[in-house]
Amino acid sequence: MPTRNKTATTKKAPAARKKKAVKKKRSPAKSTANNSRVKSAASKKPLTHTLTLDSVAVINNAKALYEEFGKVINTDVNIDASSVEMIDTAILQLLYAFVIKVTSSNHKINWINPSDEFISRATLLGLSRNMGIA
Amino acid sequence: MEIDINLSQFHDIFFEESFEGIEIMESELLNLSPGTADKEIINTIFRAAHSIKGSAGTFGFSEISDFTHKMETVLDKMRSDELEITQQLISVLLSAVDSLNNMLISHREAKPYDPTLVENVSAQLERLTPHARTDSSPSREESCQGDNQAGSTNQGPEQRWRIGFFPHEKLFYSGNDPLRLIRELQTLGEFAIKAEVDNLPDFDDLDVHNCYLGWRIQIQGQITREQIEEVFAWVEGDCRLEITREIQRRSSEDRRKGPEQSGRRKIDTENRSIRVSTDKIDNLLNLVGELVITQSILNRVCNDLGMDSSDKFLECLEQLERNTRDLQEQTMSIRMLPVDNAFQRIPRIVHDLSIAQGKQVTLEFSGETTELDKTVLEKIGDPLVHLVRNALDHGIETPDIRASKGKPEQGTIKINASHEGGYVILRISDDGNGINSDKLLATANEKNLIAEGEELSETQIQNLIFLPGLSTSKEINDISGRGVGMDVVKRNISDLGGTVDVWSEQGVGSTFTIRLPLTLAILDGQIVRVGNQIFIMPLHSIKETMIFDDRAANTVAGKVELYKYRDEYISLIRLTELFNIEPETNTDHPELLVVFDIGDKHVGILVDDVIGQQQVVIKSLENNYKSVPGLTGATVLGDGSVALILDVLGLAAQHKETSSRVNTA
Repeated sequence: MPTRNKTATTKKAPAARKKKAVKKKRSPAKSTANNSRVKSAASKKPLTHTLTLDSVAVINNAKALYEEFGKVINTDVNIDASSVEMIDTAILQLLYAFVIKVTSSNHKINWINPSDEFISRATLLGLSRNMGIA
Repeated sequence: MEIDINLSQFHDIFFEESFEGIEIMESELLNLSPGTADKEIINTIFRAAHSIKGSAGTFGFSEISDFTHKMETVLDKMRSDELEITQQLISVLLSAVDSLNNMLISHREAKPYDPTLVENVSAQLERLTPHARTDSSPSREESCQGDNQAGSTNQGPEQRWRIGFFPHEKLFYSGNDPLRLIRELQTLGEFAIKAEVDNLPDFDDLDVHNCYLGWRIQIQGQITREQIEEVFAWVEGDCRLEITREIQRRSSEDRRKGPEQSGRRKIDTENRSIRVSTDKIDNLLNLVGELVITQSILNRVCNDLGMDSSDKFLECLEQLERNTRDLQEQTMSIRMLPVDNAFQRIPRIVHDLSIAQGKQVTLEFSGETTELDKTVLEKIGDPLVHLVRNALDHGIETPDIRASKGKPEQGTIKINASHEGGYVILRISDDGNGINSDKLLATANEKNLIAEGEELSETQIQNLIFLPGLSTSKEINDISGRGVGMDVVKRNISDLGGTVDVWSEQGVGSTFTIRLPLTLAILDGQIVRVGNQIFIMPLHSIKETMIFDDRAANTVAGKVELYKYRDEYISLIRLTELFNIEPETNTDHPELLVVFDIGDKHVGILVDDVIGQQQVVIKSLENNYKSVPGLTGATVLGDGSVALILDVLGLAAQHKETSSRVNTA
């Protein structure tokens, strides 16, 4: 059954995830300086970056956000969701995967003033608790 | 970087589904009776409006969304008994449905609409609910809150449901967002949700355009399964959906009786239906047509090669033939739709006209599930509407006149559909005044529509109603009476390869009978030869084939040929002259006359030989070459040659036209 296969695949995922996370930890986060939306909050280790979500965060921006997030997965991250007025499932799913990725490599996620709209939508999808929002 | 999820690609589906919603709203509004708040009907209308509102919002058609929100507000008040159901209220909502329809059409065709009409209806809706919030646009949440309250007025018992919602990975590509669905679901009752993240890959392997999440939801309230299914209707086929009613705790006595019936039911949304463009179906039909042709060529080749002795080979060939025929029938059936689709406009027309003319009419449908080809169905709508308008305008009398005749004050219009042979028969009958044959004959004489001294039977007189320019109505109004309708009705039906006849009795009523072919794609044909050219004649309209008697043919004014067929003179058509075909010189066998039924008349076509009968696949001449008068299309025969399919009605009309010119001269 396809569902069973999928489950089997994902069971292996945590191990693979850890392996990749360790590997990536060694590589320095070089590219963050060029991205205006990603700000380095400290010059010493551990690095903390701040990601600011736009007021409208929908699937059309998903690829760009994914690339942006990918640059800071080995650091502590502040996510500023204070101005979010509209966010869809694709972006919340991306954020969820990002949060899991960052926290599983022993880094921290800190939510900065998530807007009511952001919290309500994440809660509606049953994601807020695991993302550490509520 | 932006992805290629362009919502405009889903506009067609949005419009299609919204127009379906419009039809539902209109037909259900017509089912509402003043003074009776039928909750089921109101909820159905509400759901259709709600669905249009939600989708319009998704696609950015805010004025449609706002307008529908106003309709919803009124409907909400209706189902909570805050608004009494009156005829005026129904009329306002019907006008709102019309306005919504116009808005949708204008968006689909990217044309402006008249905003004053919409504003006028909008104001009427607002007047019905003076204290209601009608501002829906700033936040979709707010309207959902309103729906929550409205939803709780559902009269059903309290139920608890478990829902498993597992979108397919490509769900986002269809423009759907699970968030919107879950939010709508939440408005139905008390709600708890758990996200299933097992399928979510590692961040590094994530394709952001795929949906990996699933949800398990519990919801409790006066909620029906239909309400839940309605929420997920937009993602039908794009998800796995499990809806389970939670079994209530039962007494020990109940438990002894055995398990509760309803239990778990998985909705296999993938197997229900899919929307497919008609172009794809037509391409499939064409390919199947080609297969049928190849099949008959194969038969022919095998016969020519003398392979009859190989029993096994012949057996396989027969099997292939059976399979091909089954495949063709199944493919044809995809295009078949219930004739009910053509009836949908009629209740509204009867409703509006009966109010405008102060008449009382009951409309009765039967045989609505009879299936007909989509193209035929689309083209029969207008003739049907015209016949029903005529029945109401000319046939059904006002209540006082009916009472004075000893008839019930309420007239009846019946529309019936049925299969007869390879045809679909539609009958439109009324118990009105019937056709006044004397008046009809006098009008026809007055307008020189019949030859002087020509004696006509009662049926022939009644069929004069289909002549162009004939109307017995005293007044010309916007319904009928211009005499431009019935001839167009007949022509439209003839274009579909059908016929229309009338029966009427004065004071009792009239019945119009429309006979339509099931499909326009295949034809049971008679293969004939004229000179060296092969033609296909539609078998269904052939009355008989007889040996041609030269002495029975007469030429009128040196141009038009008539043939004495039994007791009547019928038009005689020579294809050799019409299509410039070299006549056959070898005359060792007699020429044959194929006689056709054309309504209540006959026409004869002269041929050299009758070769056989065969079901043929009609190929459009217009698409592949150009339209040719007298021909409906072409087909490929078993030997690979092309045969032309005759348009007998067209040929008869051509002959009649020539005959009129000769008479006038």
